[in-house]
Amino acid sequence: MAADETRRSPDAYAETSDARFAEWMAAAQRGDGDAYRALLEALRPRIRALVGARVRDPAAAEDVVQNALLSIHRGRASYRPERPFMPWMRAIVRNAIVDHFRDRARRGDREIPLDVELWADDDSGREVDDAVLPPELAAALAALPPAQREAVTLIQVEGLSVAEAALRAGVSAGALKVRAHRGYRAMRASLDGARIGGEWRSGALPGAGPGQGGRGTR
Amino acid sequence: MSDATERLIDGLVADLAPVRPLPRMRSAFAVIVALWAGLLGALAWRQTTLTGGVAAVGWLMDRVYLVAFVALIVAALGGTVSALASGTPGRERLELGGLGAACSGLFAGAIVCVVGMLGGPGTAALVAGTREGMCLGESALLSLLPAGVILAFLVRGWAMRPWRAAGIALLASGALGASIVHFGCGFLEPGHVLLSHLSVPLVLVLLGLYPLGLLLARRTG
Repeated sequence: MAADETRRSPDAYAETSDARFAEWMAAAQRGDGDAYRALLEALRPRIRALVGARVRDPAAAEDVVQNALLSIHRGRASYRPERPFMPWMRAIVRNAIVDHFRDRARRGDREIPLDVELWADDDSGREVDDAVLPPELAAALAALPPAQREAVTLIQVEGLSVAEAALRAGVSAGALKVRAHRGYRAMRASLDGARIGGEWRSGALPGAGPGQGGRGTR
Repeated sequence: MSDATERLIDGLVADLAPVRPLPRMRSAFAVIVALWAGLLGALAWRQTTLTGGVAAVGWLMDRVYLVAFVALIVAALGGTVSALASGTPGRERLELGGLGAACSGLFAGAIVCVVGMLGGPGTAALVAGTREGMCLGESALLSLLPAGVILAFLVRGWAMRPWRAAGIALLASGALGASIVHFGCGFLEPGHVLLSHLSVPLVLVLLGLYPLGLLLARRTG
């Protein structure tokens, strides 16, 4: 497929037919990256329209769009080219929306408040490494099991969205959220244990030696 | 478009690898039905050989037993269609239709058995444990093969509701196994049919839902 065909503006895809989507997906299943990019770019405004009709918050809607794109990617083998494409895609998007509302309904019980100010001052949004984290936070992060540490690092330190982080970690968005949540809980317990009367207890966290624990007094 | 979505699309394209499309649903269904028919045929052949040329299907005269057999077949076929559809996005109607047929079949079979128990000698004829355990065990064993085919299909597909898909797959496999055992059992007591044949799908769901659901949820959840 010609590269210029894959770089059209989103509006240019508005009239794309179901047959064209099916063709692109069939090519993507064979490993054609250009066709796949064209497919994803063309789907994006349609997915956003479907999601936007149900999810009012723009940031949340963008997350749902990303999760739907990730599901399309992970589940692309389940599409058969001789079948219509749109019902397959709509079902995945609908499922991403339902997951969003389920997640939101559960969030009240599951949300783990961390001292977000403790996280590195990441105006840049990414490319932040552990070296700029406060020592107590870096130590709590280092004490996590590798899978949880990876999830927390990708989301909180590198500033990736859940879908991006899930793609990087090679797991589903749901699995990544669970890992991150467990990581937050463990870090919360670890940080609480390291504070006495609002002050950091010296050496209470692994890697936070004497003189390193005086910053987080919130 | 947000930068994050742009980056995600770049990442998805970079992560693209060729995949083989999921086999047709009807092909998977045909494989499962062929397996089931093969096992049923083998059982009928063995019984015919053992009884000197006469198939042991005297139960065809017993209405309750016959209805239970039909109920198990409806549950097996409906459940199989539903389980396969649950691994294919966009096939939700088929999934729910198959599940409805499967549950209706099992429910109707159970009702007929209960009515049969009330009208007959009750459960006095039930031999506690031995025969029931044997039928349950054989059914579970015979369920493994179709369960393997359905699971392979679901793992390659995309079960958006993994726990439901796992439950339906187990229900279908249990009904497939139980229908074969029911065909060869011939013990006409309605209590036995209810506890050892019709309950097999439910028992399998209870025993296998957690591991199978977890397996599918790790992939798609």
